[in-house]
Order: sequence, then C-alpha cells, then structure tokens
Amino acid sequence: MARDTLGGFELQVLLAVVRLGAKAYGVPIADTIEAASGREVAADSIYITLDRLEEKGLVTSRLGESTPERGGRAKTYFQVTGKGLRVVRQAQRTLVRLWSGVPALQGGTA
Amino acid sequence: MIASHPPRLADWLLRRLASGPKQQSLIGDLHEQFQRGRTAAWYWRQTIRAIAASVVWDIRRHPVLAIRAVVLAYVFLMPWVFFTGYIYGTTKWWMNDHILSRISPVPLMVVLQDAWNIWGAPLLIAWCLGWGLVGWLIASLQPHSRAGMTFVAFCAQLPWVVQFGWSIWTLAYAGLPMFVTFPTIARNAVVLVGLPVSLVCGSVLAARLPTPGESGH
Repeated sequence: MARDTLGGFELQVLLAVVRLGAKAYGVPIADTIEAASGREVAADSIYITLDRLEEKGLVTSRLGESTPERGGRAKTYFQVTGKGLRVVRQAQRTLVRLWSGVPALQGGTA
Repeated sequence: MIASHPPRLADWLLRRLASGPKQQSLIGDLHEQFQRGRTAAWYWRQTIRAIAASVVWDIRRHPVLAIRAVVLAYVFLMPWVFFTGYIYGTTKWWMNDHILSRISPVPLMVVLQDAWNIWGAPLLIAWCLGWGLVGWLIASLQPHSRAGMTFVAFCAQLPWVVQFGWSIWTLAYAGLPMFVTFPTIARNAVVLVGLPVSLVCGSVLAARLPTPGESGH
C-alpha cells in the first residue's frame, strides 16, 4: 500500500526508534541518526516525521517525565508498532535485494 | 563554559511561534540538548528551522484558517487605511491652524508641524498600530497556528505595501530637491518595512505562552 511506504528519513527515524526501544524520545533519536549519518539533524524534522509515522500507525507515543534541564517540559516517548516492524523488515528486504548484485556497489566504502 | 539558559530571544520566539506536533516536547528537547553543550548558534539554527517548519505545518494543516487570516487582514486593513487617510486629510489643516500653530516655544511648534504636515507622522503611526492590531488579532484567534497564520497575513498585505511603497518611491525621485524628497523616502521606509514589522510584532506579542505542562497539539 502506497501509504505504508517509507521515505529515506522516515526509515532512519523508524530504525532509530526500533534501536532505542523504550528510551526513544526526540534527543536520543536525533543522536542516533547524527552518529550514523554524521550530519546535524533538525529537531523539528524528527517530530514532523514521527507525527507522520504515527498517522500511518507505525509508531505510538506517550507522554513521559519532565526534567529541570528540559525547562519542566515532558518527554514524548515513541514505540514502534507491529505494523511498523513489518514495514521496516519489508524495507530492509527491498533494499537488500536492490543492493545485491550491483557491481558498482561491491567492496567500496564511499 | 556551558550557559545555563539558551539564548533568551531565540527561546522567547520559539515559545511564542513554534507549533506543530509535540511542540512542548520539541522545546524541551532543544533545552536538554543545549544543557548538554550545544552552542548558542546551534540553538538559533534549530529555532529558525522550527519556526519555519511551524509555518509550513500550520498552513498545510489549516488551509481554511489561512484563508480566514487573509480575509481578516484585508477586511480590517483596507478600511483602516482609507478611514485614517480620510480623517488625516480632513483634519490636517484644522490641526495645523488651531492647535499646532499655537504651541510655544516656536522650535517645538515647527517640529510638530513638520511631523504632522510633511512627515505624515500621525497617519504612519495609525497605520503601524492597525497593522500591529491585525497581527495581534490573528495570533489571538489562532493561537495554536500563529506562525503560519501570521506568515499568511504578512504575505497577504505585501502586494498592497509594495504597490503603495512603489508609488511613494516614484514620487521621491521626481526630480525634487533632497529636503523635499527625504521625508517621502522616510515615509516609504515606514510603509515598506514598518508596517510588515508591526504586523509581526503584534502577532508575537499577542501569542500566549504555553505552560511547560501543556500539550503541543
């Protein structure tokens, strides 16, 4: 279904949520993507993407605790749904199939 | 050294203009990252991006409110311009003859007469107030999508402001001496810059600050 297909950044965010498990909220999600990609991630784009993923039923959110260093503002934790996991696995299979057997992509690091 | 508080102006703008999903959590995240050593430049970058994203978010999510903001801007501003222009035009010489000319000392009288007659100060002040009021009204009516709606109203009034500013501009370069054209150029600057800025200021000042515990939706 077209609605369940993931854009590049959506996939990165969803993978970060899967990787972080119960600790997935805005800051560690941004850190995870930044560490993997080496590029600065805008906080607003993470929330916009997560909102889109939530509308697609791929993640759920719940309000967490607030801390003084956050100016008293609560964290919003995200968790991947069963449907979200299926979509990630499907994306992985598709990408692996596309990657495999392409001579130009073999053995390089760039 | 890590500053204990993010740049105050950026934070203030963020709290007043950021909307979109989980707005309060987003602000909390930025605070947390700043506390962990991000720079002020980083905070400003994130703030500008968050406000720009809020504008797009608001307009996409609330197209009807965006149309309402445009209508509101025109319905209020056009009559306001003509009404204040009419009042100014009809009272200009009366004010000059009956009030301003009686002010002493003379230097003060000259300054006030120049401000009233040549610079058109009361008209410009009234217009700035009108633009500010429209910004305030739009932000008050649509507090959860204030950035987008203010942007829409800002864009809506631009054609009029540019067209009006252009006509003043052509007058300023009609071959007249500088002492005559300078007030015209100043008026032009107020129309082109002061009015849009007044609208944005009105909006930013009207926006209610959400409390930390409040949801961003």
